[in-house]
Amino acid sequence: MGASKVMYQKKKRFQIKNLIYTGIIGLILTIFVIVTIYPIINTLAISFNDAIDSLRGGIHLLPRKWTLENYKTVLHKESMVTGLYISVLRTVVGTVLQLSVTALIAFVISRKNFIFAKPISVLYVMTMYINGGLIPGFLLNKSLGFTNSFWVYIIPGMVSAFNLLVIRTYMNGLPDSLEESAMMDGAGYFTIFRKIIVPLCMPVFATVALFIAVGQWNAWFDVMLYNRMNENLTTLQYELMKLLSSVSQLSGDANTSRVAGTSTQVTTTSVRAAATILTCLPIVALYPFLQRYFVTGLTIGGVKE
Amino acid sequence: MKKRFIAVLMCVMLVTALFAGCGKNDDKNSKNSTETGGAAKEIKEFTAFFDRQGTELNKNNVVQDLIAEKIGAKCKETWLTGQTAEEAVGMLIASGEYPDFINYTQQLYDAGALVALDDYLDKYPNIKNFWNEIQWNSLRQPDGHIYSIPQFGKINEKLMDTQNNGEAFWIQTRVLKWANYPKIETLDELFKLLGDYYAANPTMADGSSVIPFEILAYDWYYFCLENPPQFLDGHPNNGSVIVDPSTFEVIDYNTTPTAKRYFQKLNEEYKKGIIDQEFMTMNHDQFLEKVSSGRVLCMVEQHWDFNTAEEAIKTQKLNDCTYVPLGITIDPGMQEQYYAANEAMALTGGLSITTSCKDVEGALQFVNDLLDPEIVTLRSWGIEGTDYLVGDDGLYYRTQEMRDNAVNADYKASNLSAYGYFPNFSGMNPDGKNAMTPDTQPSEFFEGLSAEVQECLTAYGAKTYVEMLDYNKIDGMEQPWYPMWSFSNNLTTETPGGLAWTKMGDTKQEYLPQVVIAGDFDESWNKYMDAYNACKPEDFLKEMQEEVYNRIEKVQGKDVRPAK
Repeated sequence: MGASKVMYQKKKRFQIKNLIYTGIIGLILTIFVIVTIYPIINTLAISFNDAIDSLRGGIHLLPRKWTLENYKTVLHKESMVTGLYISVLRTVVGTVLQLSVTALIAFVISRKNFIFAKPISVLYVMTMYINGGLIPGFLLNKSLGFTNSFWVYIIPGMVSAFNLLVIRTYMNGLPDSLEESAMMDGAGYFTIFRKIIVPLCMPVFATVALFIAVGQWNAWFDVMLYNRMNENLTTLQYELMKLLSSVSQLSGDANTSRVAGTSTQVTTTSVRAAATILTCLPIVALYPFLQRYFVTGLTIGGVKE
Repeated sequence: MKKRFIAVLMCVMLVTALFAGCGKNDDKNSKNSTETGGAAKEIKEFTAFFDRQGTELNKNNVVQDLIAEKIGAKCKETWLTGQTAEEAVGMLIASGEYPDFINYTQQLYDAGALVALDDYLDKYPNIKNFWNEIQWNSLRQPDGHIYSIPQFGKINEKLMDTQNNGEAFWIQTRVLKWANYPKIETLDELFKLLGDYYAANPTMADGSSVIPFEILAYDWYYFCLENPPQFLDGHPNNGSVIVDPSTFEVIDYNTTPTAKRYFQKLNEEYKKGIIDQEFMTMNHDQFLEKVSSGRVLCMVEQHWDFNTAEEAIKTQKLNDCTYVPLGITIDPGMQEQYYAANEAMALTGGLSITTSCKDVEGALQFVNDLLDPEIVTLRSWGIEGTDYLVGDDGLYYRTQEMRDNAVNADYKASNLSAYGYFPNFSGMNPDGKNAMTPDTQPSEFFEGLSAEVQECLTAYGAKTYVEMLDYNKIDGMEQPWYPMWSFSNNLTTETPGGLAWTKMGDTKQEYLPQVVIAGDFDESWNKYMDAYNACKPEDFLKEMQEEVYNRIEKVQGKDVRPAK
């Protein structure tokens, strides 16, 4: 009798405790969602608001003076079209190539019977912490003849050590017996890779693919370094960057007091907002499709030996 | 199955490796080849990079194509993107590949990236005559050659300025009107007026509170906070130092008694709540938002920096909230020099041609042709009939629609091409009738004024904004050092003076806002002065002093250095 009552109370307390926990977690997450989603909504509102009117500030969730002008202004630039094409191309090509190459390397260095697995891994990891810096990197790519070409977007950053580790760790987590039994049945390494490892690694591939795709989509710095003068190799993000940094300055001097020709005009906040929305839209649209793979999550630690 | 997979993978790799080698385009100037292969007149295409922020024009820009048709050349201009000027130039130097045209910097000269122009000049009369002999000579580098063509400051016949684009104390017309257009000369009078007006009218029509005095102290715009002491003492904008015209002595305006008085005044007013309480945490966009709302009664600013905000005020029909300039001094009865008409004699920097340029003569021909009277008008006014009209009296004018187009970014990118960083005139158009630019055309200017501004200008006996201030003409022969900022802007941290200049800037930016908001002004001021003196400003002043003597020597041909 007493025992069951105690049990019941315990259970009840447990439920209340649970409720409180869920409540607190829910609250924290809700706040987090608001914090992350507000800037996006705000940018949307500003992008649909009249440019001059936006200068006054004070726009929060809804536009004050509805207009589509800002989007027209952005889409009017022909360079945006080229930019879109190259951006999509580099994202697709870059993701496919980088992922396949990274996966192959990861497969090799995750094999237990490969004696150089450790030292090679270390070599890769070193690149995460030590690099030559901007100028040497630039000179290297220049002397390799990558400047003014599309491939500078793909090849120099082909293997990212971080992604490699992510995939390798995941592969290490797969049971060794799978490989062994396949060997028994006479499969070579390629067959094992293709028939066993790849299907099992889908979640991690999807995750890494998203990393790579987002990285490729958002990259603009390499465009500026290597293809500044190449209008036909510009990307969407670089065009956006140019739009964002074209600010009216007669000659950038705090002291100049005379107009240089016709003074340029500030790219208004509204146009910037419109450009921002347009460039991040495609990649945001990708997320839902890859979302289901994230359930498996990323694990980098816990290397089994 | 297995084989096919391997094959595909191999193929991908092979193709990748292949393309890496052949995607190379080793000659970005291949378009520039001067061979006339086709029957059509070939248009040379040049490239330019300017280490400033600017707006890239669209392909097939109407005016640009028209100019190209007329002179057989065009130039693709690119601007700073997401890097500092120094990083961008450093990057170019590291790569050794340059655009054809570039803005002169000391680093480029040191890297041997620039082409000496003096031997070419005689062949290009428009360029040759753009500056006079003295001015050209002042551009000679230590090796005796000229590497750049300064783009700005060439006055054709006379200055036509209607708007003071530079710095002043800007005040809303409604404040002056409310006090019945009083004569405001000094800092004390100004703040008294602001205080009185604010007490009587603390809010805007929509209930938001008025900001009597605003200070922009963000990033490099902090000059709005730090350089008024030079103006308050009645000196022109040398930008980094005061130069005494009689003794040629360089004076540091940061440590003058006036500087202390000015910041003490700001400190008092801040405590009274007259100065925006959050000025030190505000960025440039937020500043423009505040000005756009019409809430800011008064501020020190360069006009070109807030004219977009003024446009926003106009669209809200807050016509009594636009600004007129005041020439404020520290004591009554002084001549102020906020506005100074000046054509410098000692020049620095400008447009340079790089060693990557395959066709230096063609490039110079292009610059030369851009200075042609017809082309100059195309650059500054646009196309006749589309962008401006010509009256019976030969004066150019614009309809409202044309005026709106001229400030519409979208329209400008596809239609107008000022080539703003190539040499251009200010003052009169070569036709001797019109102004060089629409905004300095007197008739154009009057059309655009609101009744409120007209009333205010009239009350002070002025017809233009410039006439609100004392008129000063600085003779380039008499004061050849003016403006000194053309030297200090090019200082790098490689010289002791340049290093001091950078440190001084950082120190001022850090301490001045603190001085303004300090509870105990004197203590805060002394702390600031200690930090300031630790930057070794004397190193900087020494280099500036030397440059003043150099410029006098270059232009007047006499050595005025004190006898040792």
